[in-house]
Amino acid sequence: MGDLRRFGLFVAALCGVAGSSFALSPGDVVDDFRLNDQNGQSHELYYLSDMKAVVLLAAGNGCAASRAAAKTLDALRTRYQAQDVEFLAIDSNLKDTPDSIAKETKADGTGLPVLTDELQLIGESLGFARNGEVLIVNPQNWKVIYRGAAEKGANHYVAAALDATLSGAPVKVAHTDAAGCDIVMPERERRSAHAQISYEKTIAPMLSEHCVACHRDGGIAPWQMSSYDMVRGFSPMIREVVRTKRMPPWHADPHYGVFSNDRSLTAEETKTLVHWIEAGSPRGGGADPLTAVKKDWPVWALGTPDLVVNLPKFDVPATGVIPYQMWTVDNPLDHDVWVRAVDFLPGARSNLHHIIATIGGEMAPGDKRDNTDGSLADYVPGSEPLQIPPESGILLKKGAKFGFQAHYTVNGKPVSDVTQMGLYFMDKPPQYRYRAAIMANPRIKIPANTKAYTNDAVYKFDREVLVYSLHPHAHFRGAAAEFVAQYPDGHEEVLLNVPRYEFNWQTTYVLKSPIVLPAGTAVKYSMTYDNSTQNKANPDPNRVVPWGQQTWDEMLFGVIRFRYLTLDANPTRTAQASP
Amino acid sequence: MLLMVLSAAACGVSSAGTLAPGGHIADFTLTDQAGAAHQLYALSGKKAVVIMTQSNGCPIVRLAVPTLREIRERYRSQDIEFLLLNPTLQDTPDAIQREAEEFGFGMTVLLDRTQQVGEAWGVNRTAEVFVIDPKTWTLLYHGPIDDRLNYESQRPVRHPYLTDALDALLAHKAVAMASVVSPGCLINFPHRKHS
Repeated sequence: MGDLRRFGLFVAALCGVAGSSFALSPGDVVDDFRLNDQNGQSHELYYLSDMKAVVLLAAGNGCAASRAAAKTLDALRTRYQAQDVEFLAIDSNLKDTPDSIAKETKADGTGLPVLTDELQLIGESLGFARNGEVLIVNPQNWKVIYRGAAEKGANHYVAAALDATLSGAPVKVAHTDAAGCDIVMPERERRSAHAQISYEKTIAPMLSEHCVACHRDGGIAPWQMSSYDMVRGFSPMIREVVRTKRMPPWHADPHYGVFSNDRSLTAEETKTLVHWIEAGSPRGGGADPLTAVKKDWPVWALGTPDLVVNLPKFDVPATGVIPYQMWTVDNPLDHDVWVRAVDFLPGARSNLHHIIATIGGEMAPGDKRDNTDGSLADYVPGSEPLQIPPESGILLKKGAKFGFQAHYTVNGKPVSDVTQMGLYFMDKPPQYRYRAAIMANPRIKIPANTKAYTNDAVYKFDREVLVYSLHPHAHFRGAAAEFVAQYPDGHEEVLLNVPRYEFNWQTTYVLKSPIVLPAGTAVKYSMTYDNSTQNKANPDPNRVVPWGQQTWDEMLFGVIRFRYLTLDANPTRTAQASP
Repeated sequence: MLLMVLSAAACGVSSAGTLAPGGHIADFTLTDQAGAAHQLYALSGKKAVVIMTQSNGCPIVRLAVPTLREIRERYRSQDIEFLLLNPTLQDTPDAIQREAEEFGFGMTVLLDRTQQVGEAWGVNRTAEVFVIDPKTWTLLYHGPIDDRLNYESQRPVRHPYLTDALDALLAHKAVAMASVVSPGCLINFPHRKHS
């Protein structure tokens, strides 16, 4: 047994260096991945588990073989789509960008979504060597059932493989040679160098910086990155959650906007981490920095708050789906104050998933309240306190009530939580009010058994504004969100694209540099919902879903935090009501 | 040259094991979190043996264990053995003991520290359930308890796969859904390849 094990490790090392033998052959399992296509839409391989087959094409701009294969597959797509066959192209070429791909597919008139594999991690693992090569995957077990050319002369390989699969027969010709244009993949030839990536100097510091705030003792993450052994044990899982963009929990399309609270790994970090894991997560020499991570939690990062508000106690059960908790808490102050910062101190960090705090409760569409009420601050695990830009503030009037929406997750054991909110006040009124624009549609009706239903709401700014942050919000069926500015001169700009909206992570996207929107700019906020059985969080795909506060209902609800660019003559005066 | 051939062949091995429903389960002896030894074939008098894979810190396991306990209660009179199997490299006996106490497992955890059972069975993730017929030592069902849990989400059960399999076994019928793809935490078997 010991000999066999050593033999296994020995072979693993050989696999690691033999770059070209990494190619997937018929019978091999394709691991899950998620990529955005040329239009910024997200595609996950394993989401397609209800398909009979998935056809993947290695595609590249300016390659005749790729273009010919795309035309062939586009025609097959028309023929087989009604029989539950999905066709996707994957572009792993370093020179191609989403924009250049969109131009080329438009010019070619092909309707195939082209997934942009800018890090090449997916193309590498699929063993794509040439543009024009085709892989067919069986979603029953995710095994490759065909690899090679789309067709050659009178041999219609892909069509034959699909016909066989659809009739339950084995694929006769499962492997052919595909001619095409070579894909330049520098890292494919560097597999032996990946075994030299330092755990001590590179991997552990990266995990400390990006992951350990949650993956630590008492953190919200279920397991702790407390040693090399733990990281090595979870290595294949880390690779999967990175490849499927589940972790780190940051869901913005990196092509639009730069955000100060971006939790993602950089492209380089992502590649290094995945390549290190694919090299077998080698320990190498040196100390283990993860065993030395500080154990203490910050109390109040900004010092003692001017006012601490206790939220109600909540008993979290061991398992089950917990409805959002909606609480109202009195403001104990007998005078108006201006808030400059807000922080939260969770009682049970391992279970508190998010809090949305408001003054006077969440604003609903058609609400006649002005912006004195409305959004206050959000808590998500690992987030920094809200610090309002110095020249603006939020007015908290005496007698106002705080509204809280709290979301808890279960983790297998019962826990009690009492969370505190800390408020920090300004010495004197600010020059600007920190305002919120709400975009919502309370008449939303999401059709049953529908994979993608999009609805939108528009907010028009009457005055020139400085925008600080964007917050999309939906429930279990939220799937993708977008904020698009429509400028008075007619041109449009994507401010934020969230190709895969993740209900569990209620992120406010804070712009690194606040942006100016001229008077007359309209912002269109859209949310796409997945009310199908393929949405694993969907409690009931057979239901037409209306607006509602609870998670089994839905919301089209987006928030933009901003201030007017010109001085408020009297910042306490009522602002224009929402449209 | 020989090495290249060897490596190419080994690299082609798929990450899924070869054990499928109907396949034979070989005997093994493993120790549990408290150090006691357990031999599989000593359970030959049971009507069924249900074994679920586990690793510390996996949320899907922690949320699945209460359901497994409920099912064990429901079938208490049927003489079915319920066990957990930890085939990880990182979880020490002490750490497993702590996890079992913290989350009230109330079940024996078999420690497969050499991963030989996990390898032989083609274990891929945690929370995979294996239903074994001790009369023939064949695998009857391999998959999740049900379709409730997924990554960071859960929804109402539509398919109670495990109890369907147990009911079929007790009624001497074939298991209709004998193999189901299972969500859970990937377990590191270091010499399997990535794809």
